[in-house]
Parts: sequence; C-alpha cells; structure tokens
Amino acid sequence: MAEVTVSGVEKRFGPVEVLKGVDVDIADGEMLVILGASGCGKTTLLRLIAGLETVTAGEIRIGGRVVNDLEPKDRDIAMVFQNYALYPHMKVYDNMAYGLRNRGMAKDEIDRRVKESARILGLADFLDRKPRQLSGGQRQRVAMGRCIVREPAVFLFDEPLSNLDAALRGQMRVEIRQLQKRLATTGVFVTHDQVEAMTLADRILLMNRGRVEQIGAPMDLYRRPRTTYVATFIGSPAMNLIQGHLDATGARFEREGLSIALPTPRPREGGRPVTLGIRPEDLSPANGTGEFALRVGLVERLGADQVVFGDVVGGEPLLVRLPGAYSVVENDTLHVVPAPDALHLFDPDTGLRIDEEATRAAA
Amino acid sequence: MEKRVVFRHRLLPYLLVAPQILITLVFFIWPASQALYTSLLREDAFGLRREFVGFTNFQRLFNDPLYLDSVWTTLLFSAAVTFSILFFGLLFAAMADRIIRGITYYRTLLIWPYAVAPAVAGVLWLFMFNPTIGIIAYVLQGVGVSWNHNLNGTQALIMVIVASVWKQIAYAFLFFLAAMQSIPKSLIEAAAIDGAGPWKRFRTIIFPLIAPTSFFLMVVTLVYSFFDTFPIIDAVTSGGPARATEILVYKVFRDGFIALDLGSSAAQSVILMLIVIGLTVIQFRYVESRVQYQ
Amino acid sequence: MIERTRWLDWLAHATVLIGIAVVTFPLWLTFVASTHAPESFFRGLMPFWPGGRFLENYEQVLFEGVQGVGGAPVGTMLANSFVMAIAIAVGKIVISLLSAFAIVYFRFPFRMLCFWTIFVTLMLPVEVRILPTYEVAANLQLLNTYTGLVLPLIASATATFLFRQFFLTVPDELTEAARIDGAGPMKFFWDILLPLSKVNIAALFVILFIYGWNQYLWPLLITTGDQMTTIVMGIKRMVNVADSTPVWPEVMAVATLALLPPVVVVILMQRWFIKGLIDTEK
Repeated sequence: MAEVTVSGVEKRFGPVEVLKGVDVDIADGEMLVILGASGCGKTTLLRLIAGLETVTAGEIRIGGRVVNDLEPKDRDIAMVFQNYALYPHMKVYDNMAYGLRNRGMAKDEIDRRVKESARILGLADFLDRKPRQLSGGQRQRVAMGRCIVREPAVFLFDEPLSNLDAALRGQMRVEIRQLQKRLATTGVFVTHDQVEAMTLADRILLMNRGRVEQIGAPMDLYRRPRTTYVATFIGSPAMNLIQGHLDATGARFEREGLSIALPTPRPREGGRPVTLGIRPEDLSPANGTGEFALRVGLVERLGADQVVFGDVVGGEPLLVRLPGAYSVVENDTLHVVPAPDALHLFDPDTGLRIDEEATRAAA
Repeated sequence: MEKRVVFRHRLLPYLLVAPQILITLVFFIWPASQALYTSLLREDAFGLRREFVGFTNFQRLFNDPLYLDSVWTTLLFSAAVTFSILFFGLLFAAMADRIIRGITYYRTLLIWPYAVAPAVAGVLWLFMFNPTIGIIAYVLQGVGVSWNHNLNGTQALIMVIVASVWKQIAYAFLFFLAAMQSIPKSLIEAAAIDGAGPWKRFRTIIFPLIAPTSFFLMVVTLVYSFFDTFPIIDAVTSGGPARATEILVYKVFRDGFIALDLGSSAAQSVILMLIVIGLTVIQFRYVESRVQYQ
Repeated sequence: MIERTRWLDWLAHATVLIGIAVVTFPLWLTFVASTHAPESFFRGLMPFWPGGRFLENYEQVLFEGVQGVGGAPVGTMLANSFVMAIAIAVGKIVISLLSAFAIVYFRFPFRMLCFWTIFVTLMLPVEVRILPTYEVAANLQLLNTYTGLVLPLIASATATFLFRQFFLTVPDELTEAARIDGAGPMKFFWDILLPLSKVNIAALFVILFIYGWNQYLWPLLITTGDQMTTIVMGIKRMVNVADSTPVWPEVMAVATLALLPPVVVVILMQRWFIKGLIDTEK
C-alpha cells in the first residue's frame, strides 16, 4: 500500500526527449490509467516507475521513499508485461514462486501465497502446467498471479490486454479491476485503448508527446476536455470540431451557414475566433429552435444506434450519433439541434478550452 | 543487432569473457603472430642463430619448384573435391526433395559418413583400393587398369580425392536439401501451373533460389578441401608417392616438423592464413548480405 | 510433387538408393573385414559376408592392441577419445555460453575488441599455425596431458556466435521480469537463460562431440606416449604396419570402433545434429 509521486520527471534517450516534465500524484489504492497514442511516452513513464529505466531529471517516490536509484526488485513493485514475460521453462507454480524464492522467503509461506493467489485467479488446476500449455487468458492470469503473490505496494501494467481477442479483453478488464479493488493496491495501467482507460481508471492521465495533456476522472475528461487533443482522443466517434467565431455579444457561435446559441453568453469573448466542439451523441434530430441543417452522406448502422456522416453548409463534415430506430435516408437533409450544455469552446491557436467566466473566476 | 536491456556490472563481464579470450590469445593470436614473425627470419638447422631476412622466405618459396608443384596439386585436388561434393550433394538433394515417403530414412543413411573422422575415412578407402586385397583394385584389374597407388601418383591423388568427397557429400546434401525444402510449395505449384516441367522448374525456379546456398557451400567446401583433408593425406599417402599428394597444408607440416625448415614453414603458414582469411571474409560478407535481404 | 511422372519418381528413388549404396558400402566392407581371419584376404576377392572371427578380433584389439604394432590396447585409445571428445564439447559450450552472455547482456569497454578477438579464431585453423602452437604448448608443459589435448581446441567462434544469435532472440521482457523478481545477472543466466538454451546446447553438443572425437593433427602433435593416443590418430600407425603384415581384419575392427561412436551419435540424435550443423553456419 503506497502512494506514488512523480515530480518533474524527464527522460531522454540520446538526443530524443521522450518525457518533457511529468508530474502526477497517485493516491494509495488508486488505479491510474496512463492513456495515449503510441510513442507518447506512456510506457517509458511506467518503466521509469518500475526502475527499468533511469530518469534524466526529476524524482519518483513510492510510499514516500525516493526510488530514483533503487533497483526494480527493491522498489516494492510488480509488473505485468505486454507479452506476459512468463518464464517458458517453468511451471505456473514456479513462475509465481520465483520472485519470492529470490527474496529468500520461507517455503511454506511461498506455498501459501502461491496457492491463495491461484485460487483467487482460478488457476488452482493449472499450477503444474508450463506456460505454453495455457490459453491466452490463463497466461494473463499467471502474469497477474506473479504480481499478486509478491503483495507489492504498486501494480504496474504495460498494455497487458493487447494480445487478447476482443471478448477475452473485455472479460479480463473486469477481472483486473475487481482484483485491484479487492486488494486495494495502487495500480498504474498503461494502454492506448480509451475503452480500457474509461472502464478501469479511477483517474486517467492522458499523455501527448511526452507531456501530460490532462489528468482527471474518466467522466471529467469526457465532459470537460481541457484541450482539443483530449476532446478528440476521448469518445467514439470523435468530437466534431468546427472553426468559426463568436458574434459581437458573445451569445452565439457563427460560421458560414451555421449559427448556434450558447447556453450562457460570453460578452467578454465577443467577436473572437473559436473552435466549437460538439460530440456526435450530443446532437439530436430537431424539432425546435437552434437547429441547423446538414446533408446526409454515409450512414453507419450499428444496431442500437447509427452514425451519420453529414456536411453542414460550406462543406464542413459533421458526425451525428442517432438512436438506431430513427429513420435517416442518405442524401436527405437532416435538421439537428445540439444539447444546450454540451457545447465546448476552444482557442483555435492554443487548442485550450475556453471556460465559462464563472468557472474561471472560481478557479 | 543489440540488446536493449542489459545488466550493469563493472567486473563480471570481463570474468565471463576471460576464459575464451585467454585461450584465444595464448593458442591462436600469439602463435599466429609468431608464425608471422618467424616467416621474416632465417634460422639455422640447430636453432642457434636467427637473422632478419625480410621477404626472402616468401621469395624463395615462389621460386621453389617443389612449392609450386604443391600449389598446383592443391588446386587440382581442391577443384576436384569441391566440384564433386557440390555435384553429388545437389544431385542427391534434388532427388531426395522429390521423395516424400521415407525421406528421413534416406537422409539418415546418406549423412552418416559426415560423422566419420577424415583419417578413418581415408583408411576405409585405403583398404578398398589396396592393390593386393582391395575390392576396387580387384575390379579395376578386371577392366584392365593396373592399380597401385603406392607407385602411381595420379592414382594416389584420385584415391584421396574419392575419400575426401565421400566423407563430405553429406554436408552439402543437408544444406541443399534444407534450402530446397525452404522454398514455398506454392512457388513450385505456380510454376507448374505456368507449364514448367520438373527439369525446367529446377533450372528456372529452384536453382536460382538455392544459388546463395550453393555459393556458401562452395566457400565452406573449399576451406574443407584446403585444410580439413590433412588427416586423409597424412593417414593414407603421407603426401606420396613422390609428393604427388602433397597439398599445401601437408607441406607446411612436413617442412616444419620433419624437415625443420622453420622460416619456410612459417612463410607457408602465413600464405595459408591469408587464404583462410580471404575465404572467411567472403563467407561472412555473404552471410551479412543474406541477413540484410531477409 | 505436383505431377504424376512415374519414371521421375523411380529415378529419384533409384538415384538416392544408389547414393546410399555407394556411401554405405565402405562401412559394410569394413565391418565384414573386421570379422574374418587374415587368411581370408589372400584369395583374390575379399569376402562380402561377415566371418566367424568377430569376437576374437575385437577382443584382441580392445584389450591387447593390433598384433605386431605394439602401443596401447584400443580400449585405452577409446577411453582417451571419449575423454577428449567430451571435454572439448563441454569446454567449448561452457566458455562460449559465458562469453556470449557477456557480449550480449553487458556493455563494457573493449566489448567489440573481445568480439573480434573471438571472431579471429575462425581464421586461424590449427593447420596454419602448427609449429608455434606446438611451441606454446611445449613451453606450458602441456605435452602428453589431457589439458594440452583439450584446452587449445575449446576456443570457439562458431559456438559463441550461435549462443549470441540465440540470446538476441530471448525477449527483453524476460530479463526485465527477472530483474523485478530480484534475479541478478548470474542468477538470470543460471535460472532462465541456461534452461532456455537447452535445445541449442544439445544440438551443439552433438556437433562438437563429433568434432572432438575426429581430431587428428593436434593429438598427433601433442601426444607421444602410448597412454595418450586417441583412436583416430592411433589408426594411422596400424595402417602402416598393416601394409606389410596381414592384420587388416584387426585394423578394420579398430576402424569400426573409431567410427562407431560419432556415427551412432549422428543417427540417434539426427534432429539435433542437423539443427546444430545448420545453425552453426548462420
């Protein structure tokens, strides 16, 4: 049980700056998911916490102790690797026991822990098998088991589900979450899959090009993305971004063929260029004010709902997510209206969110 | 290619490589440099006086008809051995590649001579070629060839060539077979659909695809014929009769150990070293390029 | 194959069978000769079927040596050959494993120099440095010792390269998992790397056993006493005698004994033999 503190951490590989100053506090028992596209530095951050790489600058603490110069084995962490990294020549039992034996733990204590973990993970019948005699999901559980027996302060997961097929991935996701909650062990989980991130995380750390883009609860990132990057990364299909400007009074968003009333006017921002963000699911068929028209292009019917690829006047593409039952015809004109409190404004130059003045004053 | 994950330790890696490096320095590098050094000296027969003579030993060698004869013998011997090994290896591999059932038994029976020591291989053939009791000599007598390798240099050379080839066909066979079996079946089938018969397929598809293996085998077999055949020569003919089978590596041994002409023997060693180095470099160039294009 | 060309299939089988016959004939003849009395060879054509002197001939050579040759009994030579072959194979494997481990899993000054030094051994077969190597061995008092017989032959670039190649394919994550599990370098080597190398070690052992057993020139130089003779080099002296006195059956019995161990190894461990042969040339 421990909190993890990462402060001002930078990492360079030769001339390549992979992490450009990362700060995050992970609370005891919390599950933090580091999310990002490939090459954003998320795995590097995890490996720095594990001690498999050394930081170029900054400090990492685990349970209050600075671990910068400690070997991985002395950091009180356990790690699940992407390809599981099970020792192929050892039985499941020995795979789980190996780290404990290296620490000189008593035989019967090792036995107790291995059997207990195997029971929790449903591996009790497989302790005598070699890894190659197991299915993907079972190997995944052995990798988990190898961590659990150690009773470490922190679990580290390096995209552990990416080698599984879709159905199994969903199932293991739930298992990992339940297990981590039950053991109340701090967890750091790296993934590029936003669904994994949303479902597993207490908080998500979204990374982009070696920097923290936003840290927050999953629904915070969804509801109040701090930047256009976060806005488009979280949510599927991605949020629509439309370039335009506010009218002189700051009450409406305007662009060619489009004029949308803002829920709260922003007189101080009047006249400035902005990027408007609307999630496809926040647009609904119109039967009132504030509506605008789009020409329906392709329609993807997914069953429960459908995604309409449309164009507003002026050729701007716009995605709308509608209930599956609603009838849409390709090449027709569709009138839609945005949910009033679901409009996001961003600065077109910096990509940063423009908050309501009230919120900003409060912050 | 390099590992991304390494251990950090100051002393351990040196301890780990030490045995290998030590043996290499003491038994390989040092003697080789000694040979290099001695090749530039002249020493009298009693080892009392040494003087630096530059490249005189090499000059003497190249003006020595005995040495030039040995070069010629070696070329003849190596060419015959290499060509025959590649030819038979390829022939058997091409035929075995057609056979599906029982291939492992055939393979086992074809490869075992590789395990026979060259010296023992030589003795087996010496027995069969024995002028008075040998089965081959007997058959040859029957067709009017009077066989006596103890007197006839050409016959002696033929005998050591046969023994050397017999021992090594297995090697070429295995590599050719492995190369042929790694050609995707679909490629052969595509060629068959395109109307190429077995011979045409071999010539236009299989052979070009195993060309790299052939080249590699040629280099390796040349090295074999130059150096590894020493025991056959020594056990069977001792270079005779009248130096007819004295290939270069045998002459180094004889001049150094029996005639005790150290300067000349060292110079010959140096020349042989250059040959191996040349062949090894060619072989590794090839391996490198193969790795790159994979 | 694709089309049903009957005659071609026959040709294939026929060629391979002829090849096998040619390749196997000397072995058969050797064995046959080793079971006869010397007198059997005076009647022009030698016999093609085994005679009745199998036990006598082999007993004679194993425990007393070939008649008229003197020297050690072949039993001693066999023992020497076994010691040499196994020591060379094990020695080469051990020092190659260690140096490949160092070169792959550590970064240290002069690492590449070590690599090239090992590489150079490929280019210096014993045949090209006979005399000075003999002098080194003599100066180190290694003549007529097992150490002298084995030590200079156990440096091996091919085995080192083979293990290096294999180590490079071992996933990095395994090393990291071991690090997290608290295994230092030697523990990792012993607990993880070595068990994973089993197949490679076996394949290499087969190849190296044959290599060691078949050594000729070096034992010839380094051993002079009868007690140190190996069977492969010992056979030469017998042949020279055999040419003047008729002890061919006994010489052929020795030849059979000399070729049997490596041939049996190749036949029984064919899969590993082929893997070893082909891998060491990559």
